[in-house]
Amino acid sequence: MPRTNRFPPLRPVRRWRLLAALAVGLVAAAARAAEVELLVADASPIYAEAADAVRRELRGSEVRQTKAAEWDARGAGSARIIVALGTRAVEIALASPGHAPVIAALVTRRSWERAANRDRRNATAVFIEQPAARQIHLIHALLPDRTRIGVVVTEDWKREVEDLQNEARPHRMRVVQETVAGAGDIYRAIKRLTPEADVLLAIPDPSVINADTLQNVLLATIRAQRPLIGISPQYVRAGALAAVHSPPALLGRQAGEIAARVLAGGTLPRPQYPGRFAVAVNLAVARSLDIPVEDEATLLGRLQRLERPEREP
Amino acid sequence: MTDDGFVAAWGRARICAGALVAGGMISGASASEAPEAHFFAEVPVVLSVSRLPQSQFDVPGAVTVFDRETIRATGYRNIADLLRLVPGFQVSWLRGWWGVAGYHGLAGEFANRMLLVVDGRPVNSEFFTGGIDWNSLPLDIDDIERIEVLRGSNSTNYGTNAYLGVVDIRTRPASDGDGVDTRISAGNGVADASLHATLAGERGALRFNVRRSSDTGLDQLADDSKFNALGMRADLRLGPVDDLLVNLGVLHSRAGEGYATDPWNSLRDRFTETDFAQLRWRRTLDDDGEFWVQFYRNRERYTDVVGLPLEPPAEFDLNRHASRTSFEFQHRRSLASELRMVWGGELRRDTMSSRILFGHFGDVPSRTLRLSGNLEWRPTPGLMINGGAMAERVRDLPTDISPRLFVNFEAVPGQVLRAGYSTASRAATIYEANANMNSTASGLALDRFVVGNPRLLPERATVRELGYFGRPFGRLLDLDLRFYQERLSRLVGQVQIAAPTVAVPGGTNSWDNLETARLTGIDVQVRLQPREGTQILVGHNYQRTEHRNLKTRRSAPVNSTSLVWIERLDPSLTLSVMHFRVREIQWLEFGDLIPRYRRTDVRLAQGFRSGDLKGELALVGQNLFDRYPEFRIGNPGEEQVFSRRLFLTLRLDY
Repeated sequence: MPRTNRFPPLRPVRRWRLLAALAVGLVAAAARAAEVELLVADASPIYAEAADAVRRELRGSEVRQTKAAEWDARGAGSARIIVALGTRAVEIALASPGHAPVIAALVTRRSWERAANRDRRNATAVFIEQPAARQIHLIHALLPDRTRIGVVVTEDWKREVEDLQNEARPHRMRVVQETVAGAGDIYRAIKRLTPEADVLLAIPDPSVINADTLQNVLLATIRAQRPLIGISPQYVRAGALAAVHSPPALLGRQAGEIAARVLAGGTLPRPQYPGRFAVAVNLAVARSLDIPVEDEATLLGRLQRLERPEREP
Repeated sequence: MTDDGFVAAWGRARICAGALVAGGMISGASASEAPEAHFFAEVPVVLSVSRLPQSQFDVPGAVTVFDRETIRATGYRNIADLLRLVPGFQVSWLRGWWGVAGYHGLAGEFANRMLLVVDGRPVNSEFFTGGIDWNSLPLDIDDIERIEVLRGSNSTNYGTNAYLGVVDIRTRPASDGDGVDTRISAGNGVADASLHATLAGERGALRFNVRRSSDTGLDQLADDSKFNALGMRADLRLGPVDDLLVNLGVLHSRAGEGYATDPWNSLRDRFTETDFAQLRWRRTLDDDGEFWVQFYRNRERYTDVVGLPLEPPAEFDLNRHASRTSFEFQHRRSLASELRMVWGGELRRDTMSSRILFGHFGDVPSRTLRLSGNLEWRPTPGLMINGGAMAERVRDLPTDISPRLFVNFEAVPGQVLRAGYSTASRAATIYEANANMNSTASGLALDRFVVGNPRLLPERATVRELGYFGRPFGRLLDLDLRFYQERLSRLVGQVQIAAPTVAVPGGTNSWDNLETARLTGIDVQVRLQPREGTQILVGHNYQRTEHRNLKTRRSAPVNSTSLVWIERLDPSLTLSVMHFRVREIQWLEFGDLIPRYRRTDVRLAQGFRSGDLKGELALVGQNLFDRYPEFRIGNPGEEQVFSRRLFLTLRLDY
């Protein structure tokens, strides 16, 4: 089951905010408010792709799409829901006056928690990251005889490692970790890790594995004949063996579905991991490492079947 | 170089490194963006198909691979010794510092039918008459990442002289090192020290190594030697798709030469100075391809003067200089999803100077122009076809074309059958083409003249082979078989072109493409991993050599076997045992018929760790049982006898 974090109960909206919202609402009364405010971080195609998917799910509702930089909170005063895509949009939406519930997507669990703890309001999120269980399922399906999963993390990513450990145990796998202070230590860490681990998993800690360090990480892992499980199809194209990932359209679709349910009178669900996902496999890397692999569709089907009985709505 | 000179050079290298770091070449800044950008960021392709190591099932040929761990487990101090573990290879030491190695025989004092490539740079030397000076290689055995030994011929991939066997060494990328590591070995006859230091940043890494080795050599010979070397490798990222490899090295040595028993070849020291520089710029291309251009320059200088027992005193000036400058490029790309192409070319210039060999001391040049290409096609998932050719023009000889075709067929998953037809050539060396030996430096006439033959054609190998590689029981067993018939033609043989006279009692001799040979046999290679921590490698070769000359027929043993057993006794204690058996062999030129011999080597290594310090203490015993001769026999004082040797090696990594 996707593991979700327990959030503190929402406090009643503070009185001054209500007053402020009322005032803003009066001032903006002339401007016709949309039912759904769709706030995107910027004009980049990632957010546009997700926004299109949100709108598709909300066909029939009035949706107004705005970039974070052009956002005018006054106009949103009477919106029934705010859908925010991207960290920047989510932060603005959460801090905005009004009490329309916020549905966030294209946001990492960490950025979400930081923003949600600062501005506590009725809100939920679809995280970008894949749940630990799904990562473990992928490794187990691809490499059934490899049991030692190596990860390199900084000190404050311990929780993610614990999640992985908990999910790995039932499959008789274990997580071997190397803790580093920053990207500078990564080569030493990978060197120490490769004799101990038989597959490496990239943790989405940008201070460890990022576009700058990825080249050397991939070269080191392939030299040690250890496949790397990446975080995105771009990593797989670069040379990781495989990744589970949710493209922006799938994340947007999930946010749109939540919004539609709320508009129809449903309650706001808890923050959640992506329910829909894709699998990317690098066949050339698999061939080089003598790893027999199924095609992406078959692998995806296997992973979906593993999750279906317990997938959260 | 004196020790002071060495220290100064090391100091200069450090200053250079400091300047590079200060210049920001290897440091980089990371961009801060929205956290989600990390999940969608475009990253350049690092492991393109071109850069991925080929699965052993896909290799068009039979290969033996040594990784770092196996190399270290053998305890060998020299790469030539490692080749004893490869089926079909013969290795011998003429002196403690002069190793020779050949594949399937036809090798002598200057074994020049096998190719050695280090980081894509052929190191066979005109200086060594096309052979390999194993001890002067610009690398420490700890620098090696991987050795792939191709048992066969492959001019299409390796170019010139990939004739009978190719040893392809890749050194560790600089980024693989970290901090400082040192190694010290001491024991009977051995005193070695080496140090590696790495500077790593986000834009690349630099690694330096400095080493010194000394060896008292073989039992009967005055062949002690000292080698000092300094090397640097830099792997730099120039941009998202561009990288640069820089390899530099210098080496100086002093080695004992001559025999106490031979007044015409008296005891003395010879000195070698070599240096090299290599630059390779590589770009990863969009279509899953890559392009690289490479420049390298190797230089060798050898100082050796031997006094002659004459009145008035006279001497042989055996000094030699050689150099090689090469420009090479290669382009790989996918033409369709299962069709890949590689093509490339090289322009190479070799020079050699030697008064004794050419009658004057000035550069004698040789130019090689080469183009080659290969197509790799996988029409169905289990079938792979490689077809290619090399065209080569050496000096002003006619262009020589060497085609190659190889089919790998995965009959059942995990088991591949191979069939191949290869041709390869070995170009005549500058010495064979241009020799003009008639007098010593003192003007003393030789008793036997040698004149080169500039019209010598390249020797040709035409190889037909059938092979199998499979893992019939999963990881437990790797089995590789190679049945071969290697037909060698246009072999260079010596001919007398002028009859003996009173002044020249040995006559005048030259070379011609005279001979043919046919080598038929099987290489067997087995790797067993019965449980975690145990690895057993067995190699065997059986060969029938057909040639008109008995000595050449004996240049490869009928049977040779090697066994390596590596056992991890506990997580930090490793035992390795290496054992060889070689049937009768006679090396070409001065080799005598050596009766069958056996040798057993053992290594026991204990690892330890304390905080960031990691170390290992190993005891190595070589040739634990009988003494045996390797090259000559029957001349007391001139035999190459190798007897038991014990030494300790301590490694420390910070």
